Amino acid sequence: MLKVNDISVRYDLISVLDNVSFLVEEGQFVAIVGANSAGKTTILKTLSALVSAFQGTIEFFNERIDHLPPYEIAAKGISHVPEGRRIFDKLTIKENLLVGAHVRDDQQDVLETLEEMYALFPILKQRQTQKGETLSGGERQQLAIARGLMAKPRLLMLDEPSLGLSPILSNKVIHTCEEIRRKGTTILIVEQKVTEVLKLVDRGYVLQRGQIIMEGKGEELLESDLIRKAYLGL
Amino acid sequence: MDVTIFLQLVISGLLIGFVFSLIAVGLTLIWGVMDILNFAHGDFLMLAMFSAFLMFANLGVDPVFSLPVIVGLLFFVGLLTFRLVIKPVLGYHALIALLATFGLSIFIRNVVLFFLGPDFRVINQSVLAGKRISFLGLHLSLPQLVSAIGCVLITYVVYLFISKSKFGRALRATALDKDTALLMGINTNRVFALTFGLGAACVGAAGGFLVNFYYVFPEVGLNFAILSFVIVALGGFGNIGGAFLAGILVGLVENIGGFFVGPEFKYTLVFILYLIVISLRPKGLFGW
Ligand SMILES: Nc1ncnc2c1ncn2[C@@H]1O[C@H](COP(=O)(O)OP(=O)(O)OP(=O)(O)O)[C@@H](O)[C@H]1O
Ligand SMILES: [Mg+2]
Repeated sequence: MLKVNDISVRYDLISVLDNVSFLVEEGQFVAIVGANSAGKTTILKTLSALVSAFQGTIEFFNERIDHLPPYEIAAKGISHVPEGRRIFDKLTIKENLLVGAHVRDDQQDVLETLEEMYALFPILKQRQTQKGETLSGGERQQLAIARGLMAKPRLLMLDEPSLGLSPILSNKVIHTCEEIRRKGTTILIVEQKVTEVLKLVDRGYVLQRGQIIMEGKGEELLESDLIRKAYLGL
Repeated sequence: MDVTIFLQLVISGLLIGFVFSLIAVGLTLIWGVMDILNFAHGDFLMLAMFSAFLMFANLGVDPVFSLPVIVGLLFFVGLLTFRLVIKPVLGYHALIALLATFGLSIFIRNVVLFFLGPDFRVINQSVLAGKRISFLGLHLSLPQLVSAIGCVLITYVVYLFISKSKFGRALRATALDKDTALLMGINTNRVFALTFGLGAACVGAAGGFLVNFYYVFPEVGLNFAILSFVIVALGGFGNIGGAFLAGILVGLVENIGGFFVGPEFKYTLVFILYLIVISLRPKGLFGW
């Protein structure tokens, strides 16, 4: 469904992504793993058109999307849960969720999805009338994911959802992603928590200094020498 | 002192305060969403008043009836301003947009001066003109009363629109975090354009009411603009409820203070209030 071909990105002439290519098939759970500054966030921002690539193409369901503005990409069904959650602090939790459904027209349907989100994340229902700023880090992440799902996306992109969470909590978030995938949403996740993520995903890509240096099934990558040495310190 | 006089002062203060509020709401809306202080805001007011005056003088349309047209016209002026003046400089230093609106202000004023001259004009034969309501020894001028009520209603509708509608939600999201709003599928440039339109429509409505009891000339917007900057700062930048309350406060200070200290000092009092509040609460009375 998503086909990224040879994209390269520079910030002020400094190359950040260098001929990056990867594929996400419908229904898959795909991860891009890499260390700090590898360029993970830049990949997602490029897909969402917050950053523009100077070369390469991006196809979504066989249609070029690399020249569309961000809001049209969202309307095509790509939801981007950004790094650092980026909750709208001064909006209530319910309003945050409804903004997530901005691209949808049928308000009745939207309210149904809202109830689904409340079922998936009960804390959000309890706190729905409170401002986003009152949430803790873990709750914010739940809200950010739920807000992304409110669009009923065909592809959900998550930028380090485990960032800043305790190991238990980050495991829980990553397992929630797995649950969401089982319900039928395709997921592209970028993460530093290599082990937890690679255990669960169908396909993984390893990004190092802006280049994809390895790809394969999640389990296979975990077994590989490179991952074991570079990321797990074994 | 006489209670009636005091009440009369309070009422006069409230009546003009509501008009100030609506003008400031338009300004604070644009600031809140775009972080741009629109220096042409007062000139928008003047355009609205002149449009109403010209429709009255040339077509005989009473300002009460031309109001919807004026509001629509100013909405369009706002959209156009965004397209032609603001959008080209978005993404550069915020000072550039501010200077652009400053230039626009000078431009509008001089175009009007060139075509219509510097004279003061009044509409003195409108439906409302000269009528007053008296009770308990108090006098309310009808044009002022109608304007005040109209401005309060419009302020309230704008408030509801921003706080309850889907567009209002998108607007607030854009104001808080433009990039994330884009990720949510919000066309933020469209939100900006409509916000500019809405802000200009607010000041347009205020002008359409004001023309019922205030004279019109090319510089008429200046005083109102300066007062509305003060009101926006007092109310907390970007805060609609704050602008509403601060507008009333300024109306009261101007009238009550002006009576006791002398009308030539009424603006001095407003600015003293401003300095005191800003030194104690830099984000304004209701800022967060
Ligand atoms: N706006 C920018 N201007 C200049 N350089 C940038 C900009 N954004 C990112 N970079 C640089 O690009 C490189 C990749 O950044 P990116 O945020 O994509 O990394 P990341 O893999 O997401 O890292 P992390 O795990 O720390 O979030 C970094 O060296 C970063 O400093
Ligand atoms: Mg990152």
